[in-house]
Amino acid sequence: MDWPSFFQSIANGVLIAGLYASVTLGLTLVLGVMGIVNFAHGELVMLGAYSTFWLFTMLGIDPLLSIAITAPLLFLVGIFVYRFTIRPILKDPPLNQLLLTLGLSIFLQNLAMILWKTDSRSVITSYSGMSLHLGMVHVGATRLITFAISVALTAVLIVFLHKMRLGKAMRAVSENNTGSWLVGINVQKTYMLAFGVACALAGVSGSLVSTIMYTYPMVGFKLSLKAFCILILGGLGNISGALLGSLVLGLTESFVGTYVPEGSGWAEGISFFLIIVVLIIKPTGLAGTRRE
Amino acid sequence: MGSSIRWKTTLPLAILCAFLLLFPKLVGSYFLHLAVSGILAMILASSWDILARTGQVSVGQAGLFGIGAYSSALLYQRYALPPVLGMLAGALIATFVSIFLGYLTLRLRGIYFSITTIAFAEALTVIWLMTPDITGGAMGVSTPPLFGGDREKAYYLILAILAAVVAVVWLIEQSRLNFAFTAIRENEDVANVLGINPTKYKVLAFMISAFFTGFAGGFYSHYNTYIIPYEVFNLGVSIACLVMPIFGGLYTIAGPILGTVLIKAIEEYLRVTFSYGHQIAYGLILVLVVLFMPEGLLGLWRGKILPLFRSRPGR
Amino acid sequence: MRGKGFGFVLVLLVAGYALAGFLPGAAMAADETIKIGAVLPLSKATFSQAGEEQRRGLLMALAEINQGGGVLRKKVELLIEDDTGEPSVGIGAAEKLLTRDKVAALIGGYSSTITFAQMNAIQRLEPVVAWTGASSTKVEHEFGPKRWFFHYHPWDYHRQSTIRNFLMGISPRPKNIAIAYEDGIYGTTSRDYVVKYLKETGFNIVFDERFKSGSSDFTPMLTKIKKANPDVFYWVAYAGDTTLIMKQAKEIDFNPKLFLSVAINFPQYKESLGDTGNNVAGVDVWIPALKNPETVNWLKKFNHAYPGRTPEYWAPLAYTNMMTVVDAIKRAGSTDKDKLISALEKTSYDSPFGKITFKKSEEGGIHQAIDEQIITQWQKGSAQIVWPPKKATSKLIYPTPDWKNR
Repeated sequence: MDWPSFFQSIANGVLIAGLYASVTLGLTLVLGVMGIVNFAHGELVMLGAYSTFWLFTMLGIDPLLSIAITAPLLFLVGIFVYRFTIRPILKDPPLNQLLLTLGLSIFLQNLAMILWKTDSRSVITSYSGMSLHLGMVHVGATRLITFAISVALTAVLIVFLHKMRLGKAMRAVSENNTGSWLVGINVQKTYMLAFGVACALAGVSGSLVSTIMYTYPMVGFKLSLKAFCILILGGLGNISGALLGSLVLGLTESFVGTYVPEGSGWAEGISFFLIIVVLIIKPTGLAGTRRE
Repeated sequence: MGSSIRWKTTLPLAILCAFLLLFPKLVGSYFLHLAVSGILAMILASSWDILARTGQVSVGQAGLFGIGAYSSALLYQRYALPPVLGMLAGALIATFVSIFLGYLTLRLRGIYFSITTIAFAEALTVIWLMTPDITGGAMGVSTPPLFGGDREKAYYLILAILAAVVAVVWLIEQSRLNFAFTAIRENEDVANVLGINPTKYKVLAFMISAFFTGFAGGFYSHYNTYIIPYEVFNLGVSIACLVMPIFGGLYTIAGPILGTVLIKAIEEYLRVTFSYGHQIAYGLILVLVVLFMPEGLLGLWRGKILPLFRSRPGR
Repeated sequence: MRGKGFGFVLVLLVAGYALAGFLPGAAMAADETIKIGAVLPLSKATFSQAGEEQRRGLLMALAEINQGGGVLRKKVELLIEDDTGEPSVGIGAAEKLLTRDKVAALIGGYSSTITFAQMNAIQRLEPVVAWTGASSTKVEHEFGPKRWFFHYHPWDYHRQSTIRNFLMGISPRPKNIAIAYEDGIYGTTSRDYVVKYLKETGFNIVFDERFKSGSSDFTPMLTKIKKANPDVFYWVAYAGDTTLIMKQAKEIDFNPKLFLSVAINFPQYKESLGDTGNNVAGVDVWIPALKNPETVNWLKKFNHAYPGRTPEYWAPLAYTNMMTVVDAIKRAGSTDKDKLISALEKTSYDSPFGKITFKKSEEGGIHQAIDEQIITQWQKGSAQIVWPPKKATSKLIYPTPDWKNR
């Protein structure tokens, strides 16, 4: 049994799961609170990634530190997007919501192509390519840091939702709309802020993407397809489900990539196969639905 | 009243038919090519709309399109099956796959259905690339030009298929299917209670939609002479299938066709004037239509413009 | 009510077709200029970089030609159409240029699939095509023998035979090769030829797998490759994947004796990788470091037109494309098709790629302009030519020092 490869596979899977989880968190929040699957979430990640790139290239700001800027920036973008495109369709049938967010996604991808061309953009830092030797396993320093940030992000989100007033309001609204309103929670405002927070989360994961990968106009879309897979795997609107789903996807991709012949080719398709398999077995996703 | 209604319907229709039949004689090869591409898009749009009538919003028509394209191309390559028969084969194989897919996705509602259709098309791309011995893989499959390059014949063929789609949709609208589809779309559980079996109709809609989408794929492969997985299973194809009907007006005969004509015209204009991201128009159209005219152009026509003509005394 | 609906549709259909007729550029060709048409990918990811670079080269050539008085005492007009990366659109663009704009020659090109579809569609017109696109031999088999088809870009086997010859020339000769390639046409054809050539000459292929372009993580694959302990790691990928592969190779401390790829001279290579990008070798058609006078002169012109940019080979290729076509028109004394074809066949033009003449190629083509390629290596942050010896600007660094020792 080749232990080094085995543990390396686990390490790879866990690390990439961190990235996937950070992308899925915002999506989960919006779904949980408002019941909308935001097809354009990936593009918000992409915008975060580009912001990081430009902040780095033009102002020399370290990509991981730039989170302090991209988070509030994307928060504001989220509020703007919510106000003008999401709010009007909150009560529309799911078809409209799907089409609107899909349209938004296409629009933003192409806008990015027009503004910044299609070349892939990388950032390179003093610690890029630095690697840590943990026992039998090699771990990239950047990957480890971004993983730590994802974990921190999730922890912060959980604390927010359970301990802070706004967060509790979001949970209340997600469970019972009318009830919340009756006890004086401003449902509209809560929705808006939830969307803003979700976009801020997207912005942060964009910074992480820029750091450990590279960015180009379609990067968000590819990641969002994986996020959908995770949503479906782990339960819709459920944070611990999102984490579990991320781990399942990350580890599966890693093991297929390492152990299956021609696995590198099949690995990227795992998310699609998983979606199909899971939905056939359990049409409402592994943890059931809250809304339709 | 009876004869004047028929006059209003048949005269424009007759002019339209004459125009369409004479079209190749009126224009050069460039416009003929645009027309063929346009009509192909209309077929995709109308097929998508058939499926959408049951509330199944597919964002994965590219999967069926690609299956049709590859079936036709591979059957020609391996067994020298004549192209038109190959297109038919492509249509039938796509229909068969759709039965399978339809049953599999029966219990999926709303957006989960859509996500699954995306996953379906993407999964096909991966499978295709990883099995080059069967499918030709990344290198794709090439075929000789359709009808030896005679674009007029190609035009008439695709026009005939469009006529077939339109006829089928018209028949659907005249029959009980229309009621069944609409009931299922509005509320599947209630439809069930009313005695409509959603399974039967949903799968049927899938089959009809898949047949024409598959045929279109087969046509595409011979007309373009070279197909690769990244092109025919591409999400862009799936998106194009839905933007046109939404723009023109969902659940109508004229809507998908109207939407296609205008979008293709806008697209060609944008492509010639600007270089970049003319696809941005698709995104913008989707957003604006949902926000401001959810019933598409036809809805706008019926809702706002038509009443202006109704100021005449009674009919 | 129904009738009004149909009438509306009729009106709009006719309007739609009429609208298309009044598109810009739809006017009939005027006789005061010589028109040349180019079809380039300008809006599709992974293609548009090359398309944009070609456009720069074409515009440079156009300006120079017209400043010099044009050709046959007429101004040259260049019509560029975007194929958007789709075969249908590519066909339409080519048709439009040939049948409506009536261009004297069709130039440009990039994607092999689109090229195939286009040539099939327009071959009945037997137009003069001077093409910088397509490297797939599928195109060579089908259209290479046609008398009206002139091809500039090297075919896939030219690249891969260069790799084989280069590897054979390294001493001590490497034995084990690991190959990874992106799963599209680009990666697959490259891999197919390289496997064929390397097996023929006795190399041992220890790893041979495809990956999906745009993957977020190559560590599983690189881990497997590291285990196979190759002397040479050869991969074929687009720019983004290449940067990620190199970064992650460093992370898992993968140290083959040589990192070898295809496209390593894209403009952001240095910015994206920094020191991590050093010692990587690649096969290329041309890089700015070439010392021939045509390159030096051309670079001066390029830097004047586009200051601060590092060109990729597409720019001088497109420039050469345009210049040779116009030169042929001059020698033909007209844009008559047969005369132009004869003139093109007699081309002898000094370009940054060497002397351009049209000769036979190995799998059926009769008008091939470029076949020689070079091997480049990034050394201390600059791209050097390390093969063939007569063009080399520096010696190959082999074996590559371990990551720890850099």
